[in-house]
Amino acid sequence: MLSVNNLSVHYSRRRGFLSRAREHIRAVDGISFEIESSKTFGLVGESGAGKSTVGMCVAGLTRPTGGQILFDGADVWKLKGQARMRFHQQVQMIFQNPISSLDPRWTVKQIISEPLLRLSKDNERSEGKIIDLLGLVGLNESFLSRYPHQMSGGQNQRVAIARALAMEPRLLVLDEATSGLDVSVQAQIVNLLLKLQKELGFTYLFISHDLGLVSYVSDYVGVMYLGQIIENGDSSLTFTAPRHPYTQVLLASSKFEMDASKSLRGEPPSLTNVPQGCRFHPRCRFATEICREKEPQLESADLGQKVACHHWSEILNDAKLTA
Amino acid sequence: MTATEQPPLLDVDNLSLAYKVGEGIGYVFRNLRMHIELGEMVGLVGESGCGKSSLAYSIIRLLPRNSRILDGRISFEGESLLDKSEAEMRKIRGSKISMVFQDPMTSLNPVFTVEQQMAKVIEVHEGLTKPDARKKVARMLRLVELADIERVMKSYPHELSGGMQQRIMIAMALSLSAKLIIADEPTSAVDATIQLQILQLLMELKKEVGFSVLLITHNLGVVAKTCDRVAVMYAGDIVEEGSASTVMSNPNHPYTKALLQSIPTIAKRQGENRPPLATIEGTAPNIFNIPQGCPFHPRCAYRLDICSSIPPQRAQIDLGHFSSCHLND
Repeated sequence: MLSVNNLSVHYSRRRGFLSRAREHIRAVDGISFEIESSKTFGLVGESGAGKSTVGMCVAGLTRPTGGQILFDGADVWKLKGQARMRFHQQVQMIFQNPISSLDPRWTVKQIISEPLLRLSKDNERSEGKIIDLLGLVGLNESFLSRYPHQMSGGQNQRVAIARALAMEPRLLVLDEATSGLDVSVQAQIVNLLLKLQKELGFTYLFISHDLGLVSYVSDYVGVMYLGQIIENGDSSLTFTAPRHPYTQVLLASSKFEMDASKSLRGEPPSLTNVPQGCRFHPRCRFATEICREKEPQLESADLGQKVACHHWSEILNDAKLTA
Repeated sequence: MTATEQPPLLDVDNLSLAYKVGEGIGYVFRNLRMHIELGEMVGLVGESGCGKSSLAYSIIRLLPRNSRILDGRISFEGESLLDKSEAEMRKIRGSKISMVFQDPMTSLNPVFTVEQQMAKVIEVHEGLTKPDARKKVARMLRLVELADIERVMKSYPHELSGGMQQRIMIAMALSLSAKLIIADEPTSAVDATIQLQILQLLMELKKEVGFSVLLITHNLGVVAKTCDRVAVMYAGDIVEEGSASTVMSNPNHPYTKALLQSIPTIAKRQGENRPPLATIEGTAPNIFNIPQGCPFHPRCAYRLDICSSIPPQRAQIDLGHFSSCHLND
């Protein structure tokens, strides 16, 4: 359904407030992946990796500086007029902080009516439809007259989801949609999203820095580092058999395995000063000469996943020998 | 383990705290008990609104004006903190009991360099001269394993990364020989790899330097791997308490069990098979309507009749493992 080809988003800004020198931020640098209908693609990585930027491009909210995004085969950024409007209806985004994506001066009823009125001009049927939508996300009629500040984070996020569903979308981009919520509330939202996917066939681009969450929710996953996807593949496979050194460290850190930090050296570099060759090499304990000079491309690994690393198979063999 | 004759570093006994908002009075905690021994890292785990931050602020006596401690004792190094004057508390805050907050950018002064901020605190509290204070700052920054100390000292907070800022916060907390560091969600604003480094640092330093940590977090995973003991809080009550490994692998209280079951993990996804995450029905109560009896009972899958009328007593399950649940009666 969705095909991202060689996506790039570069920003150019002045180096400082008073400086005329410019610096280039390569937020996203040549990303490619596909999402099949009714499946979930997870995009995982640390802050600043570029995941939100990718999400915004897919949702049509940020213009890429290179590459293309194809939705049902059509180039999203070449669409105009009716076709463009249809695209925006079919691809909806859910953001991290529900409080900041809902208008604080509107009631739930008003918030959900807005997209409905855009779709059809029939006022009479709207309230019934709104109640149906609230029902889909597990909220009852009493929520119609509430304001965002009168509801909890989880309830607000449900309203945001109901609002997105009002447009009858096919693809939902979820950008850290459960990050601000308590674990038990997160579990409710996740179960809701998966149930909706099962019953109504939605496709999801699920963005998060939480590995456990992403692996649980997604069918396929892409691991991002400094603007690139360095490993991608089937979700449970990628996290039980990671091939890229960064994925391995990320995994170990998320499980709080004490050796992990010994494998990762230094601070994450900034996007204005991207290392030459493999971007991860300054922090990689397996880095050699070739890593410093040549950027690795995504290639197929042993179990069907794709990895961008010069030494993935040697690292794997070493691990097998020392295991 | 410390000898049982030595009093704990921090001992909270029978603490009750209420907030007055408009016409209503909310009871944040009622008869709360907990303690921290010297050299321990204790994790206080609970979801939003359970009162964990209120407990931290009660200890350092920085509660808002509309609050009242109704009952109980808080003793630190054997002395009652609730009896101290504001002047005495000011000497303790930041020195003997120090706090590290979630977002270092909001605790570090943006218009002073790292050296200026840290040295000032040392000069004022310890009466050292500027050059001596500066030497101490360098020593503290080395202690928290920061590289390129000269550059860090001359930098402004915004010029440094989140991980470095958090290390500076820890260095500041330690620079006045804190015996207790209260870390309130210290790793929520940083990434997983930095999170691990920061917590490891705290674990090493507490042994090396000799202090205790009260780690307040909603992240059970963090606690399991880094804390000695954990206290699980729900609606102002500590419902379960014990060594981190025991509570995590053998939870007794239904709330602890439910929390652990609701966390998505890589292991829970087995290819096509994906069991739904366990959820807790209902929502957590706010301080104005804590349910009668056991505060968790309306949401508890195992509730008995007695749970809605009589609050459960804290009972010992095993060595050092306590839980407040009628199922144990």
